[in-house]
Amino acid sequence: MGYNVLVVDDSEIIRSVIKKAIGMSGLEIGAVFEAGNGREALERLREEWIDIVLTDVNMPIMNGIELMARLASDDELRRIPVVIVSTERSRTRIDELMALGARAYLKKPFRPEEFRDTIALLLGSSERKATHV
Amino acid sequence: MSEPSLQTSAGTIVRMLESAAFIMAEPIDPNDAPPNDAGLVAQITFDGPRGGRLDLTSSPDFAALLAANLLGVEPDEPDVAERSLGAVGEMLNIIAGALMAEFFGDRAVVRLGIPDVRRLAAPVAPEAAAERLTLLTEENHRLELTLSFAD
Repeated sequence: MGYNVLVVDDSEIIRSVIKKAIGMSGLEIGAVFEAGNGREALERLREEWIDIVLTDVNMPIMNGIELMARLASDDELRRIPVVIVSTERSRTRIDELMALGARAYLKKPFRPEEFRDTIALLLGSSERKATHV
Repeated sequence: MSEPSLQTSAGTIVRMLESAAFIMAEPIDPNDAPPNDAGLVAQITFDGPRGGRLDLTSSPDFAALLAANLLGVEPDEPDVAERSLGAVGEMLNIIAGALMAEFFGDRAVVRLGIPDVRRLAAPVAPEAAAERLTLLTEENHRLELTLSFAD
């Protein structure tokens, strides 16, 4: 049985691109779930077993930062590693996101190998942090 | 730090188009570019050391090519057309993210808005104070970027 992934991005096309990258990664993936914002992501997280969350930062309704804060304050959900996938390039902001609990940061556009290596590292060891910044 | 400018950051914009969507483009004199047919405009606001807006005007054909390239499919596949608006918005988002770091440095926090993409009935002239950059893609699509500051 593979790992279940939740992709959170308000852009449908980016969700598709990420799903495609996941499919081509060669990783042992089970189901890939989607959410268009942080609120939808929390709903999915309560309905499904999720092993890793890939989330954008800048989204309507509930952004990635608020989503991370909600996960961090939830005893059941804080175990899930979160990877930020964003156009955000500010080192200050990236440091903030990592301090909030993000386990890795991928800049859009990302290379397929960056994506694969980051996900593999996190799924292989939940204690490690990865950055491609 | 030098004044933010599309002209001096044209290389970054070209690199983003290429790395995100395999679109090869180069800056061109607007007078030498094919006419800007009625098409699409994507807009994104930014708020950081300075606030403003970045616009990207393109055509439906370019948007379809962009969506197809992002998805890794042919432009005539059924789900490409419905995703073309989103593709242009996301491309602008990627370009804006890269430009903000170049304009203001990698320590500045700049908040980007949600990209807004609309179909145009007719080409819109850029605001007088806006800086404009015209790009021509390998497939002969004309792209117009305009940068305007609120202050």
